[in-house]
Amino acid sequence: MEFLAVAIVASFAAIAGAFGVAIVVRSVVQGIARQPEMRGPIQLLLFIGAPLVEAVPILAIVIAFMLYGSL
Amino acid sequence: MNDYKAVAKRYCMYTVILIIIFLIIALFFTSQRFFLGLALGTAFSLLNLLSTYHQVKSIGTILEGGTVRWTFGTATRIITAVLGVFIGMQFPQYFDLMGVIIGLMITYVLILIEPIFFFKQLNNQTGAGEGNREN
Repeated sequence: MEFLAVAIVASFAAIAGAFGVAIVVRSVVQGIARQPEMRGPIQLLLFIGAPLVEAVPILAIVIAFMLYGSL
Repeated sequence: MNDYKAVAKRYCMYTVILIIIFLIIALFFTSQRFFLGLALGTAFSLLNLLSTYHQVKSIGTILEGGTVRWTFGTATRIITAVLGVFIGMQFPQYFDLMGVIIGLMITYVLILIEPIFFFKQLNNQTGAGEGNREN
């Protein structure tokens, strides 16, 4: 049962991270395609936004790994 | 500020300075394990930041019409974080696990905090501009 909990935490974190980053990158690609001259600021937003989206899934996977280690 | 390379460089500089500060504190204070863990976590956080920088750079290159490079992206960063925690768990006599986890989040906190100062600066500039126009 504990392994199932670890698997659920890790898989949901991975799914959330993948969807979050995909949405951010999709918006960035669309933005740059519409306004190529705004490439610099949009890339900066990606550089700031992508880590913020990834922070929580990374933390969740770390917690899952710690749970797995404590079993 | 618009240049993400300059911002990445600045974040890297801040992170390296923080690592040095943590190592110095670990040398002189009694809670050595915690600060060593913090330094280890921050080092892995710096790797994550560099990985993000390369990802942003490669996306820009692709949109410019350059060659497409295959990267693992988010998986690389997750593996790096897990590797940091794994090292922290393997050597509990040197590294405190809580310190490693807090250290892993340091770059994200920096990214959250730094734009606040930037917006303040931008607001000041805008206010000064309006004042000039009124005069």
